[in-house]
Amino acid sequence: MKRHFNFTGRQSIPADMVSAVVQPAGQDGIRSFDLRIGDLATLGLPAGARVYVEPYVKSSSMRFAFGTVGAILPPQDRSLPEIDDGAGVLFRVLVVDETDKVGRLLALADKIAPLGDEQQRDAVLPLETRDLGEAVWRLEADKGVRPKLLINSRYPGLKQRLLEDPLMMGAVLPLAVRDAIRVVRHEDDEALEWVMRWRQFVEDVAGAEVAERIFDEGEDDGDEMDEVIDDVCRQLVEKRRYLSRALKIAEALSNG
Amino acid sequence: MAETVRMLNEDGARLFREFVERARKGSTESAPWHLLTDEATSAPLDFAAEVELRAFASRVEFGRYLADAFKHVERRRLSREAGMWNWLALRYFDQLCPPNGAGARKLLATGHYVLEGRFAHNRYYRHLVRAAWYAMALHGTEGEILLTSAGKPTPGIGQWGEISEQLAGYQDILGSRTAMVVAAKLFLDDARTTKRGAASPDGPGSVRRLSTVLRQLAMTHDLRTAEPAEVVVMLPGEFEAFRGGPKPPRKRSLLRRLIGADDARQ
Repeated sequence: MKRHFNFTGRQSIPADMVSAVVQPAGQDGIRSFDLRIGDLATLGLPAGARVYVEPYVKSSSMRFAFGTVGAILPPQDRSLPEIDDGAGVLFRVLVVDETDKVGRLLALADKIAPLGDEQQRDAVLPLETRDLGEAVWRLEADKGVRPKLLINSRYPGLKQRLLEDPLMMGAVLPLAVRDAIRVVRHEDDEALEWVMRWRQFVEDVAGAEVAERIFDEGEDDGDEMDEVIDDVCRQLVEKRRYLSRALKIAEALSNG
Repeated sequence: MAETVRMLNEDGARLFREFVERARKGSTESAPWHLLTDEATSAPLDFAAEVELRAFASRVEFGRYLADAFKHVERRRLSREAGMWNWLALRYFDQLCPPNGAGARKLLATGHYVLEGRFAHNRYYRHLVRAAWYAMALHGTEGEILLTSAGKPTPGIGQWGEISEQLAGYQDILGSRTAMVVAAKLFLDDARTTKRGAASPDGPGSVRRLSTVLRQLAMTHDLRTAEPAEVVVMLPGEFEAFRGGPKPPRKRSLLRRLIGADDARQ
């Protein structure tokens, strides 16, 4: 079991105290954000401690001063010109003791994802539309972050089409699920809600023993584990019957 | 003589990239200067800026010059102006990688000269012109460490080394003045040249290790507000030699370890 040592007494800010929304890019191609923070004083943090918000994507990040624990004050300019384009933004909230010289972190919230709709929050593999250039879809699955299936926003109604068309679903989902499992199984923190959700998903499709093999085995023979994961996707396809459903729809359409 | 800065459009960037790739394969053709002014490959910026085609003795001098030339433009906005950075890279190409007597050049990877595609820090930070400007625009004198190279000096102003790579690769380190001051304290000597071992790929206390340790420290301390002197004290013992302490024992070579030879030369 992974153990965490916290020698400086840094507190965790509960994720439900922070809610962020990323606004789509304007004509200048730059996104911006809005972020609300709950009453940090209820965590026993000193009123004068500084609050900073850091949106980030992989190695790109920016810092915004958000006032103090006693007086949260979002800056007027919350644009994100130095954050990587076309990727999901996460947020960190830091509370810093600036009375000493070591910049001690009093509290931290990390990996805060912006709000999406309720259905997407509950889905194992949430869908999100984004400008993907010429790509129809892409899986966003970085370590430490919940995987997302990205659908190109440039084609009108593509997301809805995917949800309604079993042929399209059958072409996209098994591959996306396969690649997502390959990443999620290496996640260090097994207690994360979305990791547990993935494990449950695999268990529902292929059984508890397979789920244990995929998520609990450390070192593995790459080819052998790939086969196990491929088999999960094969079972998913058999259960969901994408092609049969698509044929049925096609038949119904041709019969008028 | 001052020239108005422009931007290379997509076609201009593509043709510039193709030239760079040919040069890497040994082509001795001159740089395609016409791309800088042709309407088909370049365009005006929506703000005014001028630069001079003059010689620079070092990356630091180059960076200072650019920081001054663009001080009237909002830094964060300028940061993602790929077309402009490509234009400048072409403009100063003969200084970034000077041709030898036969016209051949020694080039780094293409991404150090040409930016293509949407903004992504992990590609943009390596652009040689943008990097020089960014270091000085953001940190002033403290940014000099980002533009310092270890090892033998090479001609021109187009160097890129381990120090640049490790300190600029993560924006939370790149954006921290404290991290820059700490790195300069550890790795620059009184003459502002790099100390031996600072750019070692796997040595204890190297800049690569500093980057890793600072990111670990950032879990409990805010690198932007901590005082540099306090951070230096917090660094683990492997940095002792660079802090001014005794040097660690010299690592024996693999051969010496295999044959059981001691440290002394035989």
